[in-house]
Amino acid sequence: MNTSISVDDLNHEEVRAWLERALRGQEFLPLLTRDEFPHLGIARLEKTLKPATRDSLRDGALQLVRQFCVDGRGETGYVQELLALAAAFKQPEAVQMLARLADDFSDLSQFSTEIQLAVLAALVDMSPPQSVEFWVRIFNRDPENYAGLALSGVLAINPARAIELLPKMPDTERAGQATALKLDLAWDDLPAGQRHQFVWGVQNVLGRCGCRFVPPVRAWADSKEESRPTTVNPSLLAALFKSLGPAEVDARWHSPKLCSC
Amino acid sequence: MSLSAYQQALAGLTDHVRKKAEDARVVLPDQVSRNIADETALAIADFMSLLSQFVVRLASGEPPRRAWVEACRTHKRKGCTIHDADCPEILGRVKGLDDHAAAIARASRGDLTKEQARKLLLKYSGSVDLGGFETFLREAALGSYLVWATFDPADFRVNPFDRLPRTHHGICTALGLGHFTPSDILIVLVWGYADSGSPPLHRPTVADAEDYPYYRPRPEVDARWGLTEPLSPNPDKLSPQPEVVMPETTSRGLRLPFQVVHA
Repeated sequence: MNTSISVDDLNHEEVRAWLERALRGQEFLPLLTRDEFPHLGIARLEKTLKPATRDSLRDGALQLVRQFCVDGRGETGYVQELLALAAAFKQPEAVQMLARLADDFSDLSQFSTEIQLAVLAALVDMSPPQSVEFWVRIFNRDPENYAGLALSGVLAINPARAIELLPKMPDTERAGQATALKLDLAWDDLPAGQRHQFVWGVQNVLGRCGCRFVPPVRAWADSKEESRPTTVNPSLLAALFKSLGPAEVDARWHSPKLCSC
Repeated sequence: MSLSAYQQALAGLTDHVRKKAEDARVVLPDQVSRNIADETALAIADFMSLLSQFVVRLASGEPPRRAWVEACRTHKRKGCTIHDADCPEILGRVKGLDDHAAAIARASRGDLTKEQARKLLLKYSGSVDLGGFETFLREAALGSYLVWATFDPADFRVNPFDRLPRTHHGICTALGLGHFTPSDILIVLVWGYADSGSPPLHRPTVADAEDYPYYRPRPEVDARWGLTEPLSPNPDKLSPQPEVVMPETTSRGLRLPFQVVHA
């Protein structure tokens, strides 16, 4: 005999209470592995629920986000799960609430840095995206803590504007490594015709970036240049080889003035 | 006929606690209830403590399933420990891709989001040159709280997935991962025991499994590790795979490449 109560049997208020417990890993969820994060099991379960229960669950998630935005209540693990679920549910109201909250972080000492980063990370992944101005505001408020996520936010909507932020990034190798990875993902998403200009834009600002930040980013930019087919402008390349010799061509190859695209 | 570990544990309880524990066990999901009755890896004292805790939680008004899970959480890693010298050199596990992406994002402390981590896992699957991603990959936990791992019992030095099918279905069948569907992308992680800090490896118990319905207690009392039950149907007759549990640890000992496997 199995007396487990199905979520479909709960009323609206009970679903919210259930959700709060489930986010803390205290309810049975269809987890792929025994240690999977609860929000993934909740999102998986949601697809199997009756429409009315599904509405209650989504509404419950929204209420919990609203409550969190008001009082900041909840241990870090719980809040991370709640935010991850809100991102999975793709609720525009949740995005608005979290964006307003993030704009007020400097006045809200009850939020730990870890939770602030979780809010910003959720906003990067959530739709609709925030404006460039929003992310620049966040960036300028605390570059040491927020720069990485603010850069991600801008890269997602306007890669060219993101390049402008690079000289202000924290001067650490770690920040450089993370930035190189993000630039690479942004490059993947760009139309082929814009990729080269994007790489050159990055190369052009590296001289104004910190010395520890630069090497991973330069390595990324160089790898993109090396991977370019030499047929991009074959007649120009042939003429240069003839007049300058291979060594000189190689030295100048990274100058934007030599490229026509 | 000798008493099972469960019966011995029950026998050590007061009449009142014994009746409550037995009454509550039978209302748990069928497989969980059977697993409790068939458990062999818990010492009798630990088993008694687990059942007593279960009853205390029931008495406080918790529903049986939650009471069971909460009682289990205070009895983790109680199965026998494998001696350091006898530990497999290479261990491995399977996770959901989204789960590991979330782990990487959390460990990155704001450097990567979950979606970015997910894209990077897909991009670098099968590669040994991860560039800067390796820094973030190695900081991520191999699992949360308790890591379930497998190994090759025939040769402790080799990748346990080398002897398993490469397919999504084959891997899930061998490891008894019944909740994976074809739409769930999985990731295979393999790591060195010593490189990951030589965490204690334990034989899993029903308390480690909580209410997970695909756990099966191994009948042999003296076995040093557990065994999975391959999913049915098992057309390739895949054999049960060894399984151990260990505390949460980072991926510093991860062996590259990792593999993302689609159905």
